[in-house]
Amino acid sequence: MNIIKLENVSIHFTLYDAAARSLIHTVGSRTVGPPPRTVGRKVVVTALDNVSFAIEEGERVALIGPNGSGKSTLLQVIAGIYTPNNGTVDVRGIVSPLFNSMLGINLDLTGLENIRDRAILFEIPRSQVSQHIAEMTEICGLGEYLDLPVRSYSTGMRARLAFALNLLLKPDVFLIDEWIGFVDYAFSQVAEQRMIDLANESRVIVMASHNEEILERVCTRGILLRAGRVEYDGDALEALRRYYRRSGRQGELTS
Amino acid sequence: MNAQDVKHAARLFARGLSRFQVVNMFTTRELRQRYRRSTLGPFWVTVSMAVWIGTLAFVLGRVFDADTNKLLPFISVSIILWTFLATSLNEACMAYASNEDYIKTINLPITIYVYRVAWANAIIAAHNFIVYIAVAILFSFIWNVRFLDVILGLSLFVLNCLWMMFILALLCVRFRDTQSVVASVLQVMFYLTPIIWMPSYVTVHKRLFIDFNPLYYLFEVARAPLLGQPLSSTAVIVTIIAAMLGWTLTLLLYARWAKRIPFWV
Repeated sequence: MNIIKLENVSIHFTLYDAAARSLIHTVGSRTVGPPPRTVGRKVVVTALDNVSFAIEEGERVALIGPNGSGKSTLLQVIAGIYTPNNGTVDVRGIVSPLFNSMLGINLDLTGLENIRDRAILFEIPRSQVSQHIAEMTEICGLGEYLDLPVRSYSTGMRARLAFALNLLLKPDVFLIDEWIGFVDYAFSQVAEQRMIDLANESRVIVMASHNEEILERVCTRGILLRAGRVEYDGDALEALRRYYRRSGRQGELTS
Repeated sequence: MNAQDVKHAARLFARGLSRFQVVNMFTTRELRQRYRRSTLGPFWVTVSMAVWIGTLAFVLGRVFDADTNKLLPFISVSIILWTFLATSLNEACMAYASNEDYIKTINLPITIYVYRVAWANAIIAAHNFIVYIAVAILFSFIWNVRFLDVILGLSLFVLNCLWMMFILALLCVRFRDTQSVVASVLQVMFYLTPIIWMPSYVTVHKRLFIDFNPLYYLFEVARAPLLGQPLSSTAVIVTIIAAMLGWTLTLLLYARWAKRIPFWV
């Protein structure tokens, strides 16, 4: 069964600032993203250009591509944030939001209070919250620090909390926009295992990642994006290999 | 735009309200942040409101050579209402822009961000209401206040404020200059509308700028019941019509443009 289905999806960003017009020459000369173009008096950037694919139950998809190729925008489309200018999007089930950093973490509140706030945001019933809290205390290993304001946490501890918060929701469609880098190494193995667990629990996983190890362990499919278009859709490692070949990194797969 | 879009927009407003817990969470966090480590907390607003109202009544009472017994209650109610309206409208301009992070990461009903502004200002208004109650007891008009009229008046006031907020929020996220225009217009309206002066100060043939000022009716409909005066049917009718027209326009605008907000912020 298709959990995610995109048909001819295009996303255009219109830049309205007057300065954008002069910007076009600077940005246009680079090759990272799709080249902006002018429509009338406006500058339009096409972030996704006629993208179509279907993701079935059980698939774990990696989005691969250079900066500006449309990975994040694609995730945002699946998350229901951007409504495409053209084409249709059909997503079934609970979709995780794209929390990938410290967003929504209030430094003046304790870790526990932040967890409760996040539960409200994710519409998790009160009855389930305490169970989640117990589970998360275990995952993030913050112990008694959970009763202290986040302001007193070290960077690594904040990252653990952020990670734990991201796991609060048990989504059907799990979207990840590169987050493993936030976590210090010692924790990252726990994090990685937990992520793989969650990946197995969710029906579909879509992540923007170039982490070869994760890709190999988790992903069953890779979609290579370039300038907002699907350049390759198939085996995850093959997608990564093609990406590196194009960006001039011969053979070397380690990111 | 078709009927489906309008229905979808209507649902957007309902869904925002149904996630009141989220609205409340955002609001209480924001207010707590604002008054962190302050002893009086939000009651500082009440104190400064009392000082402002007292000063205005004292000075204007002398300028207009007016009866303080009438002017002070009038100004108290007017200023509390005005603070809610002006702050809500000004802050609504930034409702979407200042929540860019959330809008671009989590798919919440977009209306939440405007409800959030309204709720924060309602909580502050509730604190200011203490000044009103003190004045109402001191000037002993509290016994004339009819509860149902107050509810009706305040509902019409808030209902009209809300649609203006939604429209401004949408306009400002697309045309950022709107915010400055709103601030200036509000400043002008503060003096043009009977808020710190009473309509009776204006001679009859100069009343045109009161009679054709919709804000006058909006204030009248909420103010009169709070002062223990009878509700004017004109004010009720004008504000009901304004609410209907305003909400229709809001619904149409959101049906057409709500989807574009994440692109604009």
